[in-house]
Amino acid sequence: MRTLISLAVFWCMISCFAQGNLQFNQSLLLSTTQASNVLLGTVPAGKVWKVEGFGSGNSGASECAWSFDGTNAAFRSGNVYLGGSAYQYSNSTSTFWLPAGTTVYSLNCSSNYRWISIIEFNIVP
Amino acid sequence: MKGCFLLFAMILLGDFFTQGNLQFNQVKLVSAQETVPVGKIWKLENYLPTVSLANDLNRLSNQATAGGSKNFVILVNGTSVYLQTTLTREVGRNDGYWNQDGYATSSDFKIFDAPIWFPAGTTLAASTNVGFISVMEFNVIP
Repeated sequence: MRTLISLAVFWCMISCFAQGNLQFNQSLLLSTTQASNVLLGTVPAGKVWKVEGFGSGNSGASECAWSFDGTNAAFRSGNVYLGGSAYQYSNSTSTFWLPAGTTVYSLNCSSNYRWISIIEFNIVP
Repeated sequence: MKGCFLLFAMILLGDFFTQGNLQFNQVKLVSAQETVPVGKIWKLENYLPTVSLANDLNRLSNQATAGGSKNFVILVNGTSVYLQTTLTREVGRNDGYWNQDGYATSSDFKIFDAPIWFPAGTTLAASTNVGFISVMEFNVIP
C-alpha cells in the first residue's frame, strides 16, 4: 500500500514538472487575391501563432507586404531585381511568433496571390 | 525500509527534474525599449525588417562601386548590436559600346543565428531598419 502511495506521489511530481505550456491546436493557411488591404486574421485569446512561412505570386521586381495595423508594412515577400532579366524570389524574414490580439493584414498588392502559413498553439496554464 | 528507499529515490528524482526548468509565459513583439522582467528570460527568435526587399542599388552606369548597404540593428542595454549587414554593388557597364545596365552583386553578412537568450534586467529595443523583435518569454522555475 505504502509503495502504491509512493508511486502515485512520484507520478504526480513527474506530471507537475512535465508541463509543456504550448499545445498544438491547428495549422492555418490564410490567403487572398483581393487587391485592397484585407484583414487575414487575428490571433485569438489564449493562443499564439507561429508564422512558419509566407509568400506571394509577384512577377518582375515587385513585392507584397503584410502589416499588423493595416497600414505599416511589417514583413514582405516578392522578387528582387538582379539585373538583365533576372529576378530572385525573396522574403524579408523567416519564422517568428505573434501574441494573442495581433492582427495580420495583407496590404494592397494588386491581385497577386498572397499566403501565410501558421501553426496555432494553445497556451496551457 | 522499502518505503524509505522509495521516498529517497523520489527526492533524488524530484531534484533532478527541478534543475533549470523554463516555463513558457508569452510571446512578444518588441519595438520600443522593454526590460526583461525579474524571474523571466527572453529568447530572441527573429526580427522583422522595416525596409523594402530590394537593396539600395543605385544603378549608376559604369560605376562598379555604386550600390548601397543596409544594417539591421537592435539595441541591447542601449548598445547597438548589428544582426545583419547587406552590401550591394553594381558591376557591368552601359556606354557607347555596351547597352546594358550591368548586374547587381550582393553580399550578406549575417551574424544573427537564432536564438539569442537574454537574462532578467536586459533592455531590448528595435533600432535601424528593424521594426519588431520576435521574443518568447519564459518563467524561470527554481
